Amino acid sequence: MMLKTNTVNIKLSEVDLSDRTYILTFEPMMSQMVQSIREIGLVNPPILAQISSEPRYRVISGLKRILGLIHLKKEMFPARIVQEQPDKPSIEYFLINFYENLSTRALNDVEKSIILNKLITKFNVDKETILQHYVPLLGLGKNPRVLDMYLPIVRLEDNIKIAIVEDILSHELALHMIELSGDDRQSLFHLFVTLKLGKNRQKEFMRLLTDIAKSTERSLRDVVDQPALMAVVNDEKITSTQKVERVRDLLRKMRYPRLAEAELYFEEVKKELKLPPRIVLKHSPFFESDIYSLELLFRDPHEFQKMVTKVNDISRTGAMDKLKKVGK
Amino acid sequence: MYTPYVPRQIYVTADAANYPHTRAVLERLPSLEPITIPDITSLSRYDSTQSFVLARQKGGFFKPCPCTQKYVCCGYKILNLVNNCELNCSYCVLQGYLNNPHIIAYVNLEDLFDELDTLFETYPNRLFRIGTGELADSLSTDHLTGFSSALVAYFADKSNAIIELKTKTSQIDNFIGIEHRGRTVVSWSMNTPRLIASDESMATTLNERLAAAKKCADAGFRIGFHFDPMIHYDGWQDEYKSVVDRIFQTIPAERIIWISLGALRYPPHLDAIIREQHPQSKIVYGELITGLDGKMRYFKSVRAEMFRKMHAWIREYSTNVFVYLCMESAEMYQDVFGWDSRTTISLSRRMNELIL
Ligand code: SF4
Repeated sequence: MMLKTNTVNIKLSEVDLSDRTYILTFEPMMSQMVQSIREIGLVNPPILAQISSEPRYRVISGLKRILGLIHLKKEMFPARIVQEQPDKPSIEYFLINFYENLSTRALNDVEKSIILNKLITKFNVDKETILQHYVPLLGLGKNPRVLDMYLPIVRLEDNIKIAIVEDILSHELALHMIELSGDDRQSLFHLFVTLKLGKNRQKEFMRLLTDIAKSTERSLRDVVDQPALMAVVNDEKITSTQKVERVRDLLRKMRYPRLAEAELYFEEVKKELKLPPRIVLKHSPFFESDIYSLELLFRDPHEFQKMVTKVNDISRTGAMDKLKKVGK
Repeated sequence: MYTPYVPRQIYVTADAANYPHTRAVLERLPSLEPITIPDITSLSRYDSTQSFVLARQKGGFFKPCPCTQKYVCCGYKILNLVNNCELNCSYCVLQGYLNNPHIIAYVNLEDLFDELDTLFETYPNRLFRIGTGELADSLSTDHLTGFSSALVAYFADKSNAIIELKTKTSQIDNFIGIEHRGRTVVSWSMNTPRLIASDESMATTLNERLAAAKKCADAGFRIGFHFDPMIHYDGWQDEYKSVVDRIFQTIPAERIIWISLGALRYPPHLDAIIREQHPQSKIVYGELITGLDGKMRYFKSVRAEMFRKMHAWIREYSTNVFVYLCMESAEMYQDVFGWDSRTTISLSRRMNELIL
């Protein structure tokens, strides 16, 4: 599309930055832009739509440049101006911004969500066209499920969107978080950030926490905020790794109380048996079978003989009988 | 609320068109125009909703029950007469097992009976306990197929076999008046009213199941009850006990041939399906671990407690009713019933004695 524009100098204060009709940028990285304008000036003037007879402008493309100018405390700047009815946003103008961004940089997942949402809700593009044309342009294939995966992302709070863009939170997990209430989502997110959890741990913690909340009919926020858990999170005497492990233990105890009890009891029995490090007693997975195994690590027949004697001694103490009670 | 399945579409495979059962089903559904298809593999091209399909069973009908590895097997055998079920129980393993949504009824019962005749004649000294409720509810499509009456009549004169019709419905009208000579057991899967409402909501209520069981008992059928899957939740004791009470208040103990107990278990991939398809269900939040067979199941002490209590409550009413566990280890049998491993291995023999 050939765009007819007039290039004029306008005041920054006349640009309505709250009007996001054509904007698809999320969290622009400003430092490089500021540096570039400072060094060589504004090479490519932003495109603005004049939306009333008064000098008031809506940004079509070049938001980052305008924010850069604001940062540098400029008052006037050259812009390419088109005319527009205020209540009739034009898809052509949106597509100018879309293609310009597409050709110059990689769009992040939040921006892809913004684009798809705008095409559907603001510009009434039918879903078939979106799937056939725009979704592949965004590098998302043609699977209809893509829409379910991307459309909801815009509904998240900005701090969570930033975490997606910065790859701190997985897209998949963010989608699950949409189903939570705002309070629950923020508590969970806060916990992830405080504990600096990696994505696999985030997934594990979210599953544990939501299951505990649902099975005990509490809100997820109540589960996160419970004193025992907060005491670990806020404990300044332990390292981050220790915190993660302790919180995980706590959550597993809440989710699998009988299994946790059995594991604890088994450890106590092992302690009582006073096994040397090279005699290893193991239980079946989840204590599902009553069969235990004993592993002996030895170098030669002499060591083996010593271990057998040790095992014999242990078996006479009666402590082994306690194994019968594990998991019962 | 239970309403018998009404298909919106019916397909008939070309090789099933001329069977008497096909004609009978189509007569029961006069408002539906059947669509002929070459075979069941072409189904998914036609629609994705749950249609009713009449087909010919080309492989054998008769199979050993796919008992779970590493747990005690009761020696049950199954007939693959109908595949799939519309009752949509939250925990139903068919959700992750069958690769199409349709209900397929195999109409060539003549071949089934030939297959069974050969089997029973080849092994005259073996006893066969056979069920049809493995890949479907035995009776939920019986108002359309009428299979139950043919089965009850066929088994009536068999000396070394019985058929068990296992259901969550009250569809007994087709066979209740048929001469059965004790060779048919009619069984109901039982659960608490709370669980029926949340996880079996398209099936009959507890009252309806008991009323149907009573009618069958009155007609001289032996009755089975399967507490399977039992679900562990706050208040399970009172509620399951009260179901046991209701059973023995309704059905004379001597008419009950067996009661089985099985705790919730499912293959791991079903977990996501239950969470997604049945968000009202809470069964996935139980203390489920991975069992020796790789299936999710309650931690052993939870299962043992449920079984022990149920067994004790049943024994308050009857010392004779045969109670067994479904897909449990010999250790669990020992723990719950005090059976030694020899007795447990002979579970199948003990059950066979019940049908002599
Ligand atoms: S009645 Fe049985 S076969 Fe039918 S949905 Fe329920 S569990 Fe599955």
